Amino acid sequence: MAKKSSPRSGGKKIAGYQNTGYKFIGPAAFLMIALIIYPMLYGVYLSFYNTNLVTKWKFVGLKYYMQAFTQPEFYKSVLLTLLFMVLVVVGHFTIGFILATALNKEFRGRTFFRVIFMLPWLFPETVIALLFTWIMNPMYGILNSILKSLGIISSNISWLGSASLAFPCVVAVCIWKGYPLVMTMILSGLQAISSDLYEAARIDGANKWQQFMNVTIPGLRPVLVTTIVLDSVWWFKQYTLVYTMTGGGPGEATNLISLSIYGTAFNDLRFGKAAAWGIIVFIICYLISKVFRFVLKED
Amino acid sequence: MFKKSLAFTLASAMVLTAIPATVFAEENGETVNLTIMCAYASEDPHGQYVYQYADAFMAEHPEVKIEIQAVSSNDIYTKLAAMATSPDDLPTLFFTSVDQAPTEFDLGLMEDLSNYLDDETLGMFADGIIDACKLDDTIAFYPIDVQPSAILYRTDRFAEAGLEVPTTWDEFLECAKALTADTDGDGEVDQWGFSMVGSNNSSGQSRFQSYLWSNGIKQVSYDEENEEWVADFGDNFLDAFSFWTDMNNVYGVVPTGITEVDYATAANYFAMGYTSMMLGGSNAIGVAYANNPELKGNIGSFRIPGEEAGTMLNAEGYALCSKADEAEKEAAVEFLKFFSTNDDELMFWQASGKIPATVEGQKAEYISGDDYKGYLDTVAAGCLAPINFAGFSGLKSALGDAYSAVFAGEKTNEEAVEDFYEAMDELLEDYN
Repeated sequence: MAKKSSPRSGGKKIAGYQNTGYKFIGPAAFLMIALIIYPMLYGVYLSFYNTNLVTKWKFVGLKYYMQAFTQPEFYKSVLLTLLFMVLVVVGHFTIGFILATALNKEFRGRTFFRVIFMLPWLFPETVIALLFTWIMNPMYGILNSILKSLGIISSNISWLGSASLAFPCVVAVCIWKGYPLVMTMILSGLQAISSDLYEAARIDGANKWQQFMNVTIPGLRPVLVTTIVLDSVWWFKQYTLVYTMTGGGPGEATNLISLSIYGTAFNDLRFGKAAAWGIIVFIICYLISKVFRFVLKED
Repeated sequence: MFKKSLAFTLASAMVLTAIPATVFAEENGETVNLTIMCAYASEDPHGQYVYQYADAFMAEHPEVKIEIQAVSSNDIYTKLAAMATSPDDLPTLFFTSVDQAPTEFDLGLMEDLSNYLDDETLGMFADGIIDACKLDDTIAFYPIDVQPSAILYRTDRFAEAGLEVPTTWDEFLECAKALTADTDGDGEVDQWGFSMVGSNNSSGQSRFQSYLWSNGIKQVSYDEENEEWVADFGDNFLDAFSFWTDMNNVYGVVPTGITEVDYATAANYFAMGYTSMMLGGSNAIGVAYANNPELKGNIGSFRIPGEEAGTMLNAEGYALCSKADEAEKEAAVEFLKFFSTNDDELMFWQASGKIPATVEGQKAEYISGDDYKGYLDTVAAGCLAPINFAGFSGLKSALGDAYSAVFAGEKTNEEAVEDFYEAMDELLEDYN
């Protein structure tokens, strides 16, 4: 049993120990303050100004926050981003679950398939975006060529140039790019569930579905919570893939909030407005993680 | 003891390697470092000459070291805007075009070159070119070339179809219709009249602006009385806007997937014969000949249709960064003069298809043919003066959003124009 020291006799020792601790965390804390806390606070400060950061500083108060809630431009983009996030995350979990379950079984060549199914995650986003842009090119893309040769379409389709097609195409590519992470996380979770639990469930007369609901899902819960929060926030902030494929267009069809903010800041040089939007998006991301944690929390 | 000595030696070595060698050189006053953020360098086939000219300059001036950062012209402005708050990172010289210059000027990045260029140097440039580089009576950038917009066209196809050079946009549309065809008879159009740049980026937006100017739509004007910028779209904006989008949505005289057609794609389509007319600068001639040498003798150019001037002179060149130190500025100006005068064969300009900014350069043989005629006619007829509106880039973005939404079938012309006016009001509020 550990000995408890009285506050008086152990006070000095504890203070010394704490000092060492502070010294250890000091560099990391300094970096976090410099690279995360300060930029965030500076962003809040900027959001109250109409500024190009160099020659123009005009205080506008809450104007940009008010605009965000009164003008359709912002909330349309946020709603589109939420839809994008939901579709992509659902796609990741559907494909990830199916593949993880399959790859968790014993069969010849399992390692080979585990590597193959991981490949999309290993390619840089820009490479994948350019690859699919070429595949879907309306003039010389292989997708049109295949569909025409199969008689499914009669003339070339502009997949990324049509408002109705661009969004589903981008979502599909993002699902393809991101499912391996979810697959790997679920696979690792499945491997951590003891086979004794399934055996006990079988002895108790549970069928496959009941085993899945009462053994697999509870066993995966910690992994699922972490993965769903990470995946949702990651794809809510998605920029590179969508920007490279469509630049947010055509029109506003794929204009995710990250692209809107970037364009407002660096194309239009309206940094105050962009900062205000960035702050709101930060709050949304925070709320998303809170909601997931609340919904998926253990009893 | 040995371990301590070794650790000290390694730590010292790490510290020393972290200090750039140039710091020592600068302290000795030996080396002047120039950094050039250059859009030319990222382009083919002429980018190579920028490096060659820099090497030749460094050979003549061993005390100067030039580092070229090749950045796409669509990205330079964004990078500069991001770097503006950390002056130490800014390049000594940066590429600029006349439409990006007002915003860069507003950020305080441009040194007034009047203080560095003598009369002899200024006299080297063709008429009107220095004026095209001025903002608020300061010489904002050093001109390397001019890129007025005109229409490039296939003379052989015009002759074959019995078409005359159009002087109005209605005639232009008729020509485009006549040149749109299913050439292999498979029931699908495979050749289009007009190589429109329909992408929502700076290239597409600039061409759309040219079209609007040629229709007499100024877009923004400065109200001297109230000392503020105001929208100036006249009464015919909706009609003009609809005419442009109808070329895709109604008449189909532009390539499939128009929102995906950026400048490089459009120039490539023109070079490969998929299209027969293209609106833009003379640099597309360089791209066309580089990709398809058989086009020589089959390309002509004419002024942008319409009654009004449809283009600025569009001088391009390098701005001298106001944040550089004096030695860097002086060396940079020497390099600019060298760039303009060192190559008697004008290889950079010939390869790029750009028109030289100097009087001597404009006497070059390669711009005397039919292919450059429209561009020289445009210069002779007079171009629009530069517009010093700091929100110019935002204006372009708003125009791009409007036409892109209609091309994609997301909005009608009326809806797009209405939303555009709202965006324009907000932009002007922020920039006035």
